[in-house]
Amino acid sequence: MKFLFKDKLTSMASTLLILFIFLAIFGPLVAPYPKEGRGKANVDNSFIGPGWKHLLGTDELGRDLLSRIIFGARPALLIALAVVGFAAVIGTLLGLIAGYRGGWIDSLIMRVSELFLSFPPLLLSLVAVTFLGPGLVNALIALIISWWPWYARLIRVEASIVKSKPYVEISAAMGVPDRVIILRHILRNVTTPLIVQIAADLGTVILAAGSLAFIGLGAQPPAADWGLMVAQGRNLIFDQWWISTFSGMAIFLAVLAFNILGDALRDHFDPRISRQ
Amino acid sequence: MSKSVMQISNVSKKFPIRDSKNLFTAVDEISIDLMEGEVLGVVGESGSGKSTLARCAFGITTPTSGSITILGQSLAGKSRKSTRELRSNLGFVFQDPAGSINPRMSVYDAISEPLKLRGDSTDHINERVTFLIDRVGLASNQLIRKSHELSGGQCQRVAIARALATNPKIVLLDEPTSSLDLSVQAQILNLLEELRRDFNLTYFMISHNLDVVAHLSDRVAVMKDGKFVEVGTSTAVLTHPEHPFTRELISVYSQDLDISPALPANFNLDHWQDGPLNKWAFQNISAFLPIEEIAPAIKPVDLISAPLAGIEELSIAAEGQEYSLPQILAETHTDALIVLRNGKVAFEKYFNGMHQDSVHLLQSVSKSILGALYSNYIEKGVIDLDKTLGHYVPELKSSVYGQATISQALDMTVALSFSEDYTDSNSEMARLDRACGWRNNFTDQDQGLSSFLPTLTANGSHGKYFQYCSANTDALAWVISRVMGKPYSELIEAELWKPMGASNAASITLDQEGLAVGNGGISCTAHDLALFGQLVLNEGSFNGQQILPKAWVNATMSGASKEVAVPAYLSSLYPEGSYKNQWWVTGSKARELYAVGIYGQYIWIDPSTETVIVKMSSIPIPVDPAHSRMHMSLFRAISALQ
Amino acid sequence: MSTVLKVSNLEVDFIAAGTVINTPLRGINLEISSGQTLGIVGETGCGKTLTATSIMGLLPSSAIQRGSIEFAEHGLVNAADMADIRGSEITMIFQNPQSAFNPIFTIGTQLHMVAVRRQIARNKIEQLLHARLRSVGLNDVKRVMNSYPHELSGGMLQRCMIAMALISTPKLLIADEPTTALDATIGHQVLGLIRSLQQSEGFAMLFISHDVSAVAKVSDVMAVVYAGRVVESGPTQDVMNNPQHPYTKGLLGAIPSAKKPRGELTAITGNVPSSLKALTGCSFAKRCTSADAQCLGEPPIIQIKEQVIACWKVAP
Repeated sequence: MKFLFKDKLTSMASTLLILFIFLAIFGPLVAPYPKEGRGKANVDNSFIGPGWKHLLGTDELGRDLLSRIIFGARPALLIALAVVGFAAVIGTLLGLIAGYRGGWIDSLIMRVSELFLSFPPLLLSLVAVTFLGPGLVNALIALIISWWPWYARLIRVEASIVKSKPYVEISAAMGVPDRVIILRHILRNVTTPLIVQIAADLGTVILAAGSLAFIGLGAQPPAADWGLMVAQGRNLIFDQWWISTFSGMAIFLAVLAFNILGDALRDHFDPRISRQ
Repeated sequence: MSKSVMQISNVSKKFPIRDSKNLFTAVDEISIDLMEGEVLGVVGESGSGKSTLARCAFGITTPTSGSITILGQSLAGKSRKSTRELRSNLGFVFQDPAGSINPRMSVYDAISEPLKLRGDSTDHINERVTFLIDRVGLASNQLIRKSHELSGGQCQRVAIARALATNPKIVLLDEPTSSLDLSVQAQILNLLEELRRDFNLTYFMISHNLDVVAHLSDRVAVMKDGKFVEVGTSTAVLTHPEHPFTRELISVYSQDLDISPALPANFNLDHWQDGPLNKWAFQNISAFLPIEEIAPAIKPVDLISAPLAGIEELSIAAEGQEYSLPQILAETHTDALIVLRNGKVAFEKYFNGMHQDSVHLLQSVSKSILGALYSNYIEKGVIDLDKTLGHYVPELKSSVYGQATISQALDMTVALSFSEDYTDSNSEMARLDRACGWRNNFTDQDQGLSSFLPTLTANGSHGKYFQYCSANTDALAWVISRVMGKPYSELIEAELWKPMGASNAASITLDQEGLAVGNGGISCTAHDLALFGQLVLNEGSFNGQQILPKAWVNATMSGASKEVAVPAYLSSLYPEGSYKNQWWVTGSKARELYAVGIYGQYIWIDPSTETVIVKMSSIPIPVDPAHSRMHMSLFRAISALQ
Repeated sequence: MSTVLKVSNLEVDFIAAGTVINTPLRGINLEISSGQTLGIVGETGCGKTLTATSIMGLLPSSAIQRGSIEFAEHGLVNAADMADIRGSEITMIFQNPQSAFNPIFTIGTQLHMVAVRRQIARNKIEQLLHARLRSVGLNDVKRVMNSYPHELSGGMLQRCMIAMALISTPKLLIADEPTTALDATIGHQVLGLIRSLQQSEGFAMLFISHDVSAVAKVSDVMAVVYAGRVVESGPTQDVMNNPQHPYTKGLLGAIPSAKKPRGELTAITGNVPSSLKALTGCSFAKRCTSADAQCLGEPPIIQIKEQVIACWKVAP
C-alpha cells in the first residue's frame, strides 16, 4: 500500500480519493447545510457569491453549493462503482471464455462486443433513453452496455496470452477441467491489468455519467448530481460563475485522482511483471 | 526383457497455413516405441517438429492421423476427465522454468495440483509434497515462495517435483535445461538421472543440444522436417552416423572448427579451371564468383533406385586397352557418375568429396540447358527463329549478331572470327572468360558481356558450316533475358528447374554487370542434371505434363541438315554426327544425344536403351581426344548393358 | 604483434540515490593483440556483457567506471573518446540479429547508411557492399540487398550483421553471444566464417559467450569470469586441457558428454553471490571444495607458464 504515497502527485491523488470516499459515506453529516444539500430550496439566498457564510456560494435556488457538492459525492461514487462493477464482471466472464476457448465462441463474443463498441456511449444512452425514458437507472444501464466490451477485449487478450503459458498446458495435460483452469490459472493471472483498468475507468465513468446528466439524460432535478449542477449553471457562467465552475472542478478532481491512481497501480504492478 | 510403455504409430500432425489451402506437415508419419526405463533423446533443429511430436504423444495435442498407445491404452476420442487416471502416469518438464509455474501460486500449490486433482487427502498431499521437495533438493522453506522469488534452477526443480507427484511412469522432458546456466544444467541433469534410477522412470527427452542428449540418452532419434532420419542407440548414432544430416550435426560437436578457407592458399583466378585447382573450384564456384540462385521445386521428384547388375563388372575397351569401371573413372578424373535406366537410378557413385547434394560446375553442358529453355519460347512464338539476335538486343546490331539468326546461333552455324582455343590467352575465348569474370582482367576492355559481345565480327556467310563458339550461347542468353524482361536464372527456374521437380538449388555465375554466363556457368547436383536428361529422354514430358515441346526434342535428335559442314574433330568420333539446338547429336541408329563441357562434363542420352548418363569430372586439361574417345566407349558400354 | 586492447583493473559500480548498490565488475584485466581472439566465458551475471559495454563507453549514467582502457594507437581512452571510435574502429555483433536491423528498411539500405556514415566514397559503396556480402558467404548479393530483415533466416541475418560490422574494417570486433540464438549447425558455420574472416582480414576479436565449447573453438586466448573478476586466463588449449582454478574445473566438468558417466557431472554447489558490493576475499570461496581460512583474503595472481590464475590454492 506504500506505493499509494510514493511521490507528491500520487499522495495528492490518494488523499483526494480518501476524501472523496469519506464524503460519499459521511457527507450528510459534515455538510454545512444538509437540508439544502438534499435539495431544499431557499430562494431568498439565491445567487450569493462565495463568502464566509457560503464558502462556495449558493445556486439559483439558494442552496449552499458546498453542501450540494458534498452530497453529490455519494451518487458519483456509486454510479462509478456500479457501472464499472457490472461491466467488469460481465466483460471478464465473456473475455475469459472467449480467450480460453477460442474458435467460434471467441468470434461470436468478439463480434457482439464490436457491435456495442461501434456506438459512442452518448449515442447509446440516447437510444436507451428513447426506449426506457430518462433517469439515473437508465443512464446506468446505458453506460454498462457501453463499457463491458472494453473489459471483454482486454481480458480476452490477456487470457489468450496466459493460455499459452507452459503451466496451463501442463495442467490441461494432467486432465484438470477447463473451468478449474480458467479460475485457478487464467483469472488469477489477468487480475493485474483488470485492476489497473478498473481504477482508471472509475474516473472515466464519473465523467461519462456527468456528461449524460449535463445533457439531461442522467440524474434528474432535484438530485445533487455534479453533472446536473454544471448544466444548471451553464447559462449563468458569466455572472454566477461559481455554480458551474465548482461543480465542474469536483468532477475534474475526482477523475484526475482516479487516473493518477490508475497510473500508480500500473507502475506498482508493472516492474514486478517485467521482472518475471 | 523390456516392454514398450508407449507406442507411436504413423503419427502425423498437420497445421493449416494462413492464406493458403495447403497444410504444413510438422510431423510426418512417425512411428517409434518407447521402451520401459529407457531415455529416448530426440534431437533436431528448430522447426523440425520435435515438440509437436511430443505434444501429440503425451496427449496435449491431437494428431491429425496415426495412433498413440500409452501403457496399452489410447487417449484418442476420450474426454480429459475420463483419461485422468491414464494421464497421471505422465509427467511434464518444459523449457521455461518460470513459465512452468503459475506466478500466483506457491511452490506448495504448484506441486500439489496433480494430487488435488486425484482427490488425495490433505494429509497425504502434505506428506507427498514434503517428500518430493526433499528429493529434488529444495529446502522446505521454499514451499511458500512464488516463482519470481526462485532462480531458474530452483524453478526447474519444482517443475520436476510436480512432474513426479503422481508417480508417473513416463516423463516428457522438453528442452529441460536449455534456459539454464552450464553449472545449473549439470545439477539438473544429475538430478534427472538419479530420479530415473530411483523411480524407474522412462524419459522422452527433447533437446537441440547434442551434448545433453549424448550424455543422458540410451537411444537417439534424429528429426528433420518432421521425419526421423536416423534412430539407433546413442553410441551407434554418435560414433557411426549414417544419414548426412546426422553427420553434419555431429561434426558440429567435435572439437575442431572446420575452417574451410574462403579460397585455397594457391588460388589464382587465371588457373582455377585447370587441374589441380579445378578439383576444388568446380564444387565451390560461389566462393569466388558472383552467382544467382535457381530455386528447386517445392515438391521435388524422388528418383527411385533400381540397380543394374553388371555395371561394376564392366570392362571397357578404349585406346587399345581394357579398362575396368573403377579404372576408367579414375583415368577420367570422375567426380560423379549417375546412370538412369527407364527413369530409375541404376548406378550412382561419387568421388573427390562429392555427395548427392553437392553442386558441380557444368561448363558447356550449360549450353544444352539453354537449348532446352529456348524450345518453349520458340513454340510459344516469343522468339522467332529467323529473326537476328540484333533484332532483339539492339546493342548487338552492329556486330556479327546483327545478321546471324537465332536459329543459326542455336545450331552454331554463325560464321564469326572467334578462336575457341582454351589454352591461348589472347584468343577470343580467353577474352570471353575475362568478360565473364572467369579470368583476371587487367585491361580496360571486355569489362562485361555487354561490352565484349558487340565486338565480334563475321568472317563468312552464316548457316554453311558448324563453328562451335561459346559466345553464341551468351548472346542467346542475353536475348531471352532481354525479351522476357527477367534475369536468365529466373527463366531457367520457372521453365525448367521447378517444373521438372529438381531437389536442390542450382546456380549460374554472373559477369560483373549481372548478366548470366550462359555458355558455361551453371552449377547443379548430379541428380538434378540426370533428372533434366531424363526429361529430354521422355521427349519433354514429366508427370503427364509437357515441360518441353515434343517436336523440339525430336527435331534435335534428328540432328542438323546434311548440308551443314562438320569439323573433323566431330566426324572422327561420330561419322554422322552434328550439332543442333545446342546439343551434340551422334547421328547413329540409336539416335544418341549428348551435352558436353570441358574438363569432362557430360549428359549422355540413349533413347534406344532408355539410358541417361551424367558425368561430372575435373580432368586437368580442357579437351583431349583420348578422353573424348574414352568417354564415348564408357557411355556406350553402359548403355549396351541389359 | 601489437596490442589492440588493454583493459586494466576495470571496475564498475552501480549507484542509486548516492550510494553504491552493486559492483558488478570488480577488477577485469584483459589484453588482446592484433589478429588474436580473446574469448570471455562465464555464466549469467558474471559481468561479461557489462565488460563489453564498459569498453565501448556505453555505461548508463548510474554507473561509475574505474580502471583504464587502452586502445591501439589511441592509448588511454575514456567514454567520450570511445564515441568516435565505436562503430568505426571497434564494432560489435549481438546475439539477436533481428534486433540489429530496422525492420522497415531493406538490408541494402541499412548497409548503405552505415557506409555513408563511414564516409566511404559514394561511387565505391555499391562495389564494397557487394564484396562484403560475398565475403560473409552471401553470394546472391542482389537478393539479399533487396530483402527486408524478416525475409531472411537467422543465419543469413547474422551474416549480414557481420558484414555490417566489417564495413569500416575495424581493428577490434566484439561478438556477444553471436551464435546462441542459432541452430547448432548454422551457428557452427557462422563461427567458422568469423574465424576465417579474422584470418584473412586480421582484426582482433573479443568473443563473449556462456557456451564454453563455442569459446574454445574460436579463441586463441580464453578468460573465465566469475563474479566480476577474471579468475583464470591463458591460451585456450592450456585452459581447456589443464584448468587450474576450481571454478574453471567445475565449469569444464559440468559440460555434458557421452564420455562422462551419467549423474556425475560436476555440479558446483550454491549460487552466484547476489550482491557483489562488499565482497572481500575470494568470491568463489563459499562454493569451493578446496577453500579454507586463507581464502578470506584477496587471492594472489599466480602465473603458470602462460596461464594466469587468481587463487590461493594453486601452486606456482
